[in-house]
Amino acid sequence: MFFEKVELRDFRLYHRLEVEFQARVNAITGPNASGKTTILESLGVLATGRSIRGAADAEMVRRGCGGYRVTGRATGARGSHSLTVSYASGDGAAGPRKSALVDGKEVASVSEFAGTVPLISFSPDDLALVKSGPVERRRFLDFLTCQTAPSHRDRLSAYQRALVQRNALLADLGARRVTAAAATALLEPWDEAVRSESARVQAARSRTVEGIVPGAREAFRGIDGRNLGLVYAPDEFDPGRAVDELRRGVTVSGAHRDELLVTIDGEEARRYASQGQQRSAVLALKLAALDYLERSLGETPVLLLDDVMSELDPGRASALLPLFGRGQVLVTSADRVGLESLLGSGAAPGVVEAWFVAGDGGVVSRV
Amino acid sequence: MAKSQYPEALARLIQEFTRLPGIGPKSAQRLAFHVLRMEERDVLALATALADAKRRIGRCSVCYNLADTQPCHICGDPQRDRTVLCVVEEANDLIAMEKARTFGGLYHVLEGALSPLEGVGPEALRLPELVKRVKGGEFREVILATNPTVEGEATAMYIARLLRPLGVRLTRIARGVPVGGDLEYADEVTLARALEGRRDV
Repeated sequence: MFFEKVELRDFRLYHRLEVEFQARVNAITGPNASGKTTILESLGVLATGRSIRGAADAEMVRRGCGGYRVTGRATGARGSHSLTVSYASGDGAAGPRKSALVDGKEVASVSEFAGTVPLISFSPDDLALVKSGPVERRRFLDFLTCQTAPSHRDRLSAYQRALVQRNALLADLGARRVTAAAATALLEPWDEAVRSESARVQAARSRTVEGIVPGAREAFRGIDGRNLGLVYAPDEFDPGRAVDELRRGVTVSGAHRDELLVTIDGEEARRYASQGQQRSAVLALKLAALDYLERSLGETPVLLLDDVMSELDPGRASALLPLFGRGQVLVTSADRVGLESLLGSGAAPGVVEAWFVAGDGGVVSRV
Repeated sequence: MAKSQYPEALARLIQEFTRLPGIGPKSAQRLAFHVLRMEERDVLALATALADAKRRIGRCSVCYNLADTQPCHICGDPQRDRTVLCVVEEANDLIAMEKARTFGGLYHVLEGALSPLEGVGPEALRLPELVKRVKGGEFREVILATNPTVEGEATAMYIARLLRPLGVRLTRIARGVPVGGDLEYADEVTLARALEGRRDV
């Protein structure tokens, strides 16, 4: 699947923008803050219904405007689709409204979109995937899971809802100094809500982990030579911790506490690996994710490489080169010469089909 | 505040319309102008209907359905099956069930669902009344027909715990693929839930 074109209306710094892409490798260069990443982000919105940078819809609206719209055309082995995601901030009376259209027909929820165009993005910020806390790793798992099974988005919101309700009850009972024994009857339905929704989320995450483990191990061995381990540690909901929970007013176990442990030769990569190894681990996870989506969905994902080629040393960058030409790739860099020499050298000579330059005032031109 | 562009009585009418759900300032203005164009007789009929509905409709003292008689027309109907009780969140859920015309038993309207976030605990629902009815009645089965939301499920579970000691059969409505719809067109979430709730044939 690849994006033939995208049209933006009041999206981030762009008032109006229309870009036509080539089926394989597209490079976007331009100075910092010229809107390169925004173009990738808009494709992420079309593919997944939301920001790949974790931004809220309101943040993607151009300053002073009442909403944004992203429209695109994606073509693959099974046909061509026009996709639209629009967001209206709403005013006092009407709340914000987000809608999604496939081939001009509105779909029930934006999450139904996910998986129509499989997509993997990779930016320097992704180092956090290995380097920081478990939140990023859960986000990564959920991002993949939502693409292979769009119902995962609804599973996540049902879990969130159950959690928020249980926490509200804990806080209320805690403030009134109700003992755990006395709270049992009131907590029970919410224990069950959190337990069952948590188990649903975890079953889906677990399938995703199984799908990426072999690929990640193989990719990492190719880049680094050592053994990468991925162990999913679901945090099963435990109703027996109410005493502590009533004091703190929050639920202390469940899918919101899941961890995906990344190890290198048995040592936790987050703590013990060098920055270079952590980079390689992230790269291996992304490559495995791309393979997994391709296998599950029967379409090669669109690959967004945001400013990463310049971050990676030639050895690691070359691990990405085989992907150039397999599916659509959109690569950005502030350093055109560096990107040209990297892509023009060795494994991928003259591979770029279209060069774009993002410049001042929200203009993107093909060069 | 700037002086209103409307004559006072019209401004007041628009103001009253904006208090209705889903009516913004523009719709309110449109409705108000429409009222001014209506025959006086029709306007009075509307006003009387509004006041009458408010004055005459209350809650049934047995099932808490909206009613203008005591008990309501369902509780008072000798043809209804008095051995099956269907528990719903709101009166409009009852109306939806009635439209389906397959249920011939009695109802119990909870007037809400558990939601700690909005401060709705068991004490805010018609639960003591439910327990009393089940204890004193001849019910063989209680159908928990709260909504298939997180809150509806939790409410059903709470009620199940409350009624289990009474020895009555407790059932929960199924959820799944809409009738008349192709599987192909069912949304993925509905299908996933339908699959989770599958049963032997």
